[in-house]
Amino acid sequence: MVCANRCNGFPSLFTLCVCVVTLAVSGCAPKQTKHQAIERYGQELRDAVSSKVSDERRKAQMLLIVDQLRALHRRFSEETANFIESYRKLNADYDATRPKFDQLFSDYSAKRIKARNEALDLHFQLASLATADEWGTIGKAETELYEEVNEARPAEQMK
Amino acid sequence: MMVLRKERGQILILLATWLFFGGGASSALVIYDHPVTEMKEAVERVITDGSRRDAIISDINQRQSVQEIQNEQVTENREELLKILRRKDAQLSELEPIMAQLDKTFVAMDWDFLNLRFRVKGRVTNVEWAEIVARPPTH
Repeated sequence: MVCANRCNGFPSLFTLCVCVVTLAVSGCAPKQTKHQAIERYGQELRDAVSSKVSDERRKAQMLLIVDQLRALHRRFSEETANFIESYRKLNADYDATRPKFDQLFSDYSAKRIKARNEALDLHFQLASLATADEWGTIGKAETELYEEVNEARPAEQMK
Repeated sequence: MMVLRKERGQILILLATWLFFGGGASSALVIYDHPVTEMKEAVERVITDGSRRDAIISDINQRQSVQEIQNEQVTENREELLKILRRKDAQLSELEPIMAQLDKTFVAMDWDFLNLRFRVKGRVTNVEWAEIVARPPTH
C-alpha cells in the first residue's frame, strides 16, 4: 500500500491528506471502514508528532492541529462519498434536468473549496510551528508523494 | 495482481490530490467512476445504429481531446502549487492565484462533462440510456 509507505516517520500534512482521504473515499483498504482508515492514519501522524517534536508546548499545539485535520477529513470524505452516490442516482434518471446536475456540482465544489481552505489553514499553522529541521522532513515526504502522483496516469488513460 | 494494486493505489492518490488541491466534481467522478470511458464502451455495445453510434463516439472523442489539454493545465498548476507548499516560508497569497486558475479550469471541466452527458443522452432512448449507465457488477 502506497499510503502506508508514505506515512512512516514524520509525514507531511499533505501526505496525511492523501492517505486518509484516499482510504476514506475509496475504501481501498479492504475490510476497513472510512472512519477506521481515518483513525489509523491520523494516529500515525499523531505518533510521528509525538516522537519527533520534543518541545512539549509545540507538540501539544501540533497534536491539536492533527485532530482538527482528522475531523476535517471525516467530514470531507463523507461529502465526497455522498456526492458520488448522488451523481450516480441522478445520472441514472433519464429525465433528470440540467439544473439539478448544475446544483449538485456547484454544491460539491463549494464544499471542496471550503475544505481545501480549512486544510491549507491547518497546513500553515503546522508549518509555523515546525522547526526548519522538522519541515525539511516534511518537504521530502511531499516531494516523494509528488513523484508518485506524477507517475500515475489519470483513470481515463489507464483503462 | 501486484500491478493492479499499484495502479489502484496510484489512482487513489491522484484522486485525493485532485480533490484537495484543485479537483472539481467531474474530476472526482472521472477518477473514481471512469464515466466517460465507460460511456464510450457502453455506447459501442448498446447502440447498433452505426451512424448514430459514430456521432456519439465522435462527441466523446472530442471531449476526451479537450480533457487532455485541461489535464495538462491542471498538472502544471498543481505542480507549481506543490512546489510552493513545500517551502516553510510559503505564503497563502502565493497560492491564491494558482488555486483561482485551478478552480476556473475545473468549472470549465464540470461544464464540459455535463454538456457531454446531456448530448449523449439526447441521442439515445431511455431504454438505451438505462443500459449505458448501468453499473457493472463489483468484483
